[in-house]
Amino acid sequence: VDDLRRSDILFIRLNNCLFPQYLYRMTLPVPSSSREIVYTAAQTAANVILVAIVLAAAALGAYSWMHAQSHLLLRLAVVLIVSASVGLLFRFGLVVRVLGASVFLGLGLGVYTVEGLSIALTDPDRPALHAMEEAAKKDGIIFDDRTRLEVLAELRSRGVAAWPPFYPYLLLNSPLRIGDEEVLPLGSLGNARTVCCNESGRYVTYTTDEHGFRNPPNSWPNIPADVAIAGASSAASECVGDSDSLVTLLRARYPRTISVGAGGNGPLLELASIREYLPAAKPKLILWLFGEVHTPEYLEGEANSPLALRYLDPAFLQGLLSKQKQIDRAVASYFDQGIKAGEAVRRPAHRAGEFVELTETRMLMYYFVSARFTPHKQQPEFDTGLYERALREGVKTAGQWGGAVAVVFWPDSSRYPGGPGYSPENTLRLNSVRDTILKIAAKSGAAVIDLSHSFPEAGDAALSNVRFFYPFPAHFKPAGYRVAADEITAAVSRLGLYKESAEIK
Amino acid sequence: MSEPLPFAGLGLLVAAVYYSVKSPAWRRGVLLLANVAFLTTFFPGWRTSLPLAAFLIGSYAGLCVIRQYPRASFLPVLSATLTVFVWLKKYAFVPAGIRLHFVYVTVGLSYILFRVLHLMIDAAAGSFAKRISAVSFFNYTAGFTTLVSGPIQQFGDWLKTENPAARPPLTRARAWEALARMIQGLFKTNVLALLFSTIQSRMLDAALTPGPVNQKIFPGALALVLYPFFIYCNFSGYIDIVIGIGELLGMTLPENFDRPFSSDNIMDFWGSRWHITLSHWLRAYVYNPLLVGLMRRFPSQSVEPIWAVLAFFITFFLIGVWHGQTTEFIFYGFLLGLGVSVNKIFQIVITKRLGRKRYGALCKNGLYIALSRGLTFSWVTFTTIWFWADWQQIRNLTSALAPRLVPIWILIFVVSTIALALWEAVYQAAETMAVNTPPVCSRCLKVVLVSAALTITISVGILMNQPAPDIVYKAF
Repeated sequence: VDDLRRSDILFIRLNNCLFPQYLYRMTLPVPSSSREIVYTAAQTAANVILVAIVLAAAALGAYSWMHAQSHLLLRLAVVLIVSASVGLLFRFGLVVRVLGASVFLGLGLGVYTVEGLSIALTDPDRPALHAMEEAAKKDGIIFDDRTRLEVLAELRSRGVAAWPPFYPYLLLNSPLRIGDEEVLPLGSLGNARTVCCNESGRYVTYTTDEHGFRNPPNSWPNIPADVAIAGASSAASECVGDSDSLVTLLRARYPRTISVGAGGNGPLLELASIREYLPAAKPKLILWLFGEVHTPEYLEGEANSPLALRYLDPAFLQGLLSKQKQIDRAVASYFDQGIKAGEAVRRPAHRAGEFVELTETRMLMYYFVSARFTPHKQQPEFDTGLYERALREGVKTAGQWGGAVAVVFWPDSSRYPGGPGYSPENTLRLNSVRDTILKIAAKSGAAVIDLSHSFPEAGDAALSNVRFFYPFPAHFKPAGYRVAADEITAAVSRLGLYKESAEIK
Repeated sequence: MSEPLPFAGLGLLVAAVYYSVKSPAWRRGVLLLANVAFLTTFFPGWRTSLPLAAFLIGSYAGLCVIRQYPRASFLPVLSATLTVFVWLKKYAFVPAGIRLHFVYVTVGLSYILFRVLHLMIDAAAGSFAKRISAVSFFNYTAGFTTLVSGPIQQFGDWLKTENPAARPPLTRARAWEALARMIQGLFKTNVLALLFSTIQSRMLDAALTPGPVNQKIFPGALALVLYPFFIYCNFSGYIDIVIGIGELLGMTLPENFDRPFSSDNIMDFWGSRWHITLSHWLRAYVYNPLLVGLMRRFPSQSVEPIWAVLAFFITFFLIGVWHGQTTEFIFYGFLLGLGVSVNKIFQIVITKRLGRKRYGALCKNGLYIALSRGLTFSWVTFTTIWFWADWQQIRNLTSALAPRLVPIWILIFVVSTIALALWEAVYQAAETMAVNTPPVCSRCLKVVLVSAALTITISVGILMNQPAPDIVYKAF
């Protein structure tokens, strides 16, 4: 041994570990008893398993490093697995090595079973879906449990060119390319059959207008418009049918009402819609919806988007109105890519790949670790200054054609007894947000329509709230939209916000 | 504290403290402390513990009286104990006016009663030479390992290891076996039971959702079939943990399950495979005395089988009623009694028709066994409905599946016959392989499976944040 170099010793050790029978044959008599044969086989199996584990762990480490997924946990796991396996291979005797390999095998089996179980048990949509199913059952509706992608596929297979709804905020930081320029569309494809959402138990579908908003066809040539609605999903009347949409309901009183709302819009994207589209419609009144729970969140996202911030500059415009054909093509291609990606995710090969990569388990570990070791994120501080600037710009824009702006404070169902997650403390917190918004609106030169008192807030009357709200976080039910539309109409006439004879420039 | 994971943790903690002290007296103290501490975890306030404490004290006093005056006091004390039990458990027939009108906890009261009755009956028969001390009485009737869901150990067996000095030393092999058993139990309660209960409730929802009845056959059948598997994993898993903890502490507790779904008749299921210690208890203290009494009172060979059937019916009716205080459980008891009685009558009739030899041959026929297993499982599935559903739910389920009830039960019978036959074949093959395989391989396989089970159990509980379903038998 003294004559051997260190590398030779290492080589012999490795040989000894991997091929014990070979060494037996070379240096010892061939094992004769069945006990020896079994132990030799067990040792070989253990060695093969441990080497395979080292290689697999190294491959996993390399793969994650190449795909920039090298999280601390993953690195730690790789280091631990490799060092434990190498330690078992070189440092310990037969019994411990066989035991160690068995434990590793068990861990592997366990981890992959957990992956399977987590796919089966922890469908993130399951609790929400279950609540929707229950609510639909109560309303006597057979719940359509298909995904939107499945509905789209089914419609497309029947030759209907169906599309998902368009959410501009998803493109805030990666606008679409039209020619050489980057464009952030604010509406969907024009005249597109859209499969929107399912809260009642049935999917709501509608056809967009010529600029991709949720209005009846041929809404745009009717200039000047009476009323325009800007806002997020509630302005797009998610998730009720056309007959219950805010536009339809307001048209009973103001026939030329249009909406430029889109789900996920915050004040800056709403300002953008007003600036891009409404000068062409010249509405006498803009109803600018403020969703009390989501608008602050959406504004936080928009504040990080240079493109959205540019709309605070009165001279900035993307000129979307004149680019509808190009927008149609770009949005269609964007949707097609998304649908293809969605379908790819559902393919068995992709799912198998995710299973091998332990995607769900890693996600669970990430949530587990981040829930414990990441400092709790505070509720975003609502940037009142930014909101006020957006509002002032909107008021100024409407003023260019003699239109008025009214901020409609759109309450969340969670503030009412019977609404999801209701608690008096939550309502008190929401009230303080409301008071701030109403003050800012008044300061910015906009009128204020507060809908927060339109639904029963206490007592036996609050029992009727089940007619207006779903028992899970969602948009209003059709009856809720009707109450909102009636209240808006009444407030508009009470405050004298709509003047039939107003002069439009 | 009766949740499986904390309970197993408590078992490990008690074992660690138990082995950290050497003197048998101290070890006895550790166990007493563990029993008291475990019991107190169930009481939200001292008032809630009073009825149970009074029951234990009263039972011990009754036991002392019976030892002193066995003939005169046995029946009055026994009747008083049973009356207090029924009163505290608020059975449906107990008038509301005489119930205690404050919140109290009766955890483990049924199991305490079984042990108390066993002591009283045996004491009256003069089985105990020595006086049972109050500490021994408490440790036996309210020991933390067996308090919540049994098993019901005979006092004589318990006494053998009461003294820590008499307990076998904790070897590495014993510790490994104990831990492996606990992990197996945790896997059953926290993973398998959770899985079965989740799928069962989803299937039940699907079966109760308005829609075409043909689409409800599969979910309806699955909802019915999965409950027995859930309750088996829930109960036997907890018992595995109990036995594992007992093993760690040097106590050999009796087995409560023996592959119940392999039973080929309902008497076999209830008599020697499911909740075995309860069946043994009832056999010793209800069935045998009842049958002997009837046969002594009406000594005729021709009516002996009738008494056997009657004794079976009453015993199993009592098993059903023991499970709960509502009318559903009374009906459940009736079905259990009916099943066992019909089974017994069938055995008597077919033995008379075929003769013992041919009936014995028939019982060894593979097809007959497979069909019997399927039928037994289907009957267990059917009777269990009254165990997990109330009348309203049963009505809803029946009306939802009404036009297809017969096909559903035929489906359950056919599928369970085939599946159980296959499972039995696989089990037998595995048994044969285990016998012929070198010990190192079976040990390695066990290490692999136990490691996997532990990984899964911890991941499901902690990472997936899925708590184990409540131990159903805790309520009895």
